[in-house]
Amino acid sequence: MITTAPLTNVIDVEGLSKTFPGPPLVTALQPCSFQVRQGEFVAITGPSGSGKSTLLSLLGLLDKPTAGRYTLDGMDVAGLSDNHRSAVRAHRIGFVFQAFHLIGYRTVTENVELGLLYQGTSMRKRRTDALEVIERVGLISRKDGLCAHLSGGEKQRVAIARTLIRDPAIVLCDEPTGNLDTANGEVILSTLESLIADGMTVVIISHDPSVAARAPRNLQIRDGLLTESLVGTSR
Amino acid sequence: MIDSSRLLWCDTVREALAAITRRPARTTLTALGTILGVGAFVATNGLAETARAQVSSRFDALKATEVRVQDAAPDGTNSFPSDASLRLERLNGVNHAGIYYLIPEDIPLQPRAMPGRDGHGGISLPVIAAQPGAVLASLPILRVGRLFDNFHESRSERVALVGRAAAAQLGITRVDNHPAVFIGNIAFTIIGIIDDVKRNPDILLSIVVPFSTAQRELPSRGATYEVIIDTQPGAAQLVARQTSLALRPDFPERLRVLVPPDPRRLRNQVSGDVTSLFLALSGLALLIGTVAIANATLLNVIERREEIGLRRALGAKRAHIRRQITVEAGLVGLVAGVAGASIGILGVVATSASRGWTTTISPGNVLLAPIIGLFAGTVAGLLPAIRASGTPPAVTLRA
Repeated sequence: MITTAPLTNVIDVEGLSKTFPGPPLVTALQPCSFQVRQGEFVAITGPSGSGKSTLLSLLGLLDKPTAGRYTLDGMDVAGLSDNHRSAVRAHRIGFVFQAFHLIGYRTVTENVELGLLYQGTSMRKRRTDALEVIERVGLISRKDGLCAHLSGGEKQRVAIARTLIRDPAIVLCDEPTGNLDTANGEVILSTLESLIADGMTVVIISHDPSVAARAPRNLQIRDGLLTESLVGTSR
Repeated sequence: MIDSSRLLWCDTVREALAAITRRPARTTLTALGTILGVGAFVATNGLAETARAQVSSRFDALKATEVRVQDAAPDGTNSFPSDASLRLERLNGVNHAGIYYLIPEDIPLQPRAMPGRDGHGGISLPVIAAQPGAVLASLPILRVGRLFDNFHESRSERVALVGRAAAAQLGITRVDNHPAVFIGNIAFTIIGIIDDVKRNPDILLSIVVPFSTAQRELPSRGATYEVIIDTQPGAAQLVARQTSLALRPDFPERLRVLVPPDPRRLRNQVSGDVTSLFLALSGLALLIGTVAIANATLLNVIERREEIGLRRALGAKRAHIRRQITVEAGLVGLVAGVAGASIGILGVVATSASRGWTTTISPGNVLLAPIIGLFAGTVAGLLPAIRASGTPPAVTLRA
């Protein structure tokens, strides 16, 4: 069990870095420090290979940092064991991926229910909550359809619903509009903005300046080095 | 406080079932090796049991209750004591026994229904001299009349039995009118017609006269004497070991005892050979099936890297992934076991039907098949499960 304390910052990173063992040694992320407050919408931008995905993996506890401190929702999570990181992911972190990562042979409802599977939630509650969030993303008419048969925009909405059902402390989005056309990309961004309006914290990674422009706060990363620039008004 | 990541067992099974049932073609291909392996196991065991039962029934039908004794150094004389029948029938397990021999063919004999009667004078039939015990040891079935017995033997009576075919040639159909057959110039009264025998079928073509009568009345030089013994089931081996001493305690080496192989030993040997061979084959088939399911599961896991990465991102522990993949493979094995058992049974039934055998399948083997499938699937799933759980989620999600 991990103890949490109420803090304003959802993410508090200090000197976080990642170096992949060689040879040759590859420093994917140079030591960086930043904070993300609750309800904030932060975009991390940078060219391909700059270290965006590495930073997202570290923030999402999908990978372990080489050095640095990382406090998520008041918990020091940088040195957690694999099982503890799984627990934090299960309860505190939501992901939206560019490739959707849905299970094609399962229905929309079943994919959304997966969000609660590793929280030990009963099947009945999973079903009820799933239908609720599916309705929220406007896919209730497709709830029994197989995900393999959905359009790209619908798939990403299912992925968002799968995140919503978890009520995470933070939502990490990796190029959420990367595989979508402009219209569908707009729908997804609008959906994410509605989550932020509801008080959810969202960190979005994108190399698309138009996506980054929607976020009040931008973190730029180049060659593994993170810099910050304020685009709009911080919330 | 954050609870640990949890996956309920019922959810594990539910997820595994979904993965199996939603992709039936993949599941079938994954299970194919195990289906064949378990099917081969059930079929080979079923065929082994059926064949064993068949062998048993054949052996039971031809129970080795027969012992024959011959002269080890035949010189045309009788090397058996005249009371051979009595001596042997005193042995435990002996039903009937006696000496018999074929009257040498070069001795001119003309069996006739009536001397000089037209049409029968030139008939040539074999004549067998036999002690009553030898006739009984042939397990005769009488059509009419009676067999000669120790009374006729002890008094060297001129009586005879005729086989069914011999009687037809002689034109004899009844004995209540005391028909006679002339062997040379000696008339023998026919007291019975033998319809069938279980042993010594040449009796059916012959005239059988008492041994003592033949010894006294008919020439026997150059004859080949033999003793036939009918034993109780299972006693043939024991009787065979005692026969030489019982007949010729002075010179047992003079006699050669012929006994068929011990049916139990032979049956066990045949059954053992068949079972060992079939078990080896089915074991090999099962091993191939296990390797096949392991290979298919490994490929499946590689293909599902993204899904596994997603589950890890959603909070699954490595143990959850291992559990799910193993349960999936185990369930595939279980389904394959049931399917394989069904196919195996069908194979045994079809094979048995085509050969006219009675199908014999042990329920234990049939019930064991799904368990074997489950075990094979679970074992086969272990390595892929370990590999799947060991891949970092960041890597699988980037794929």
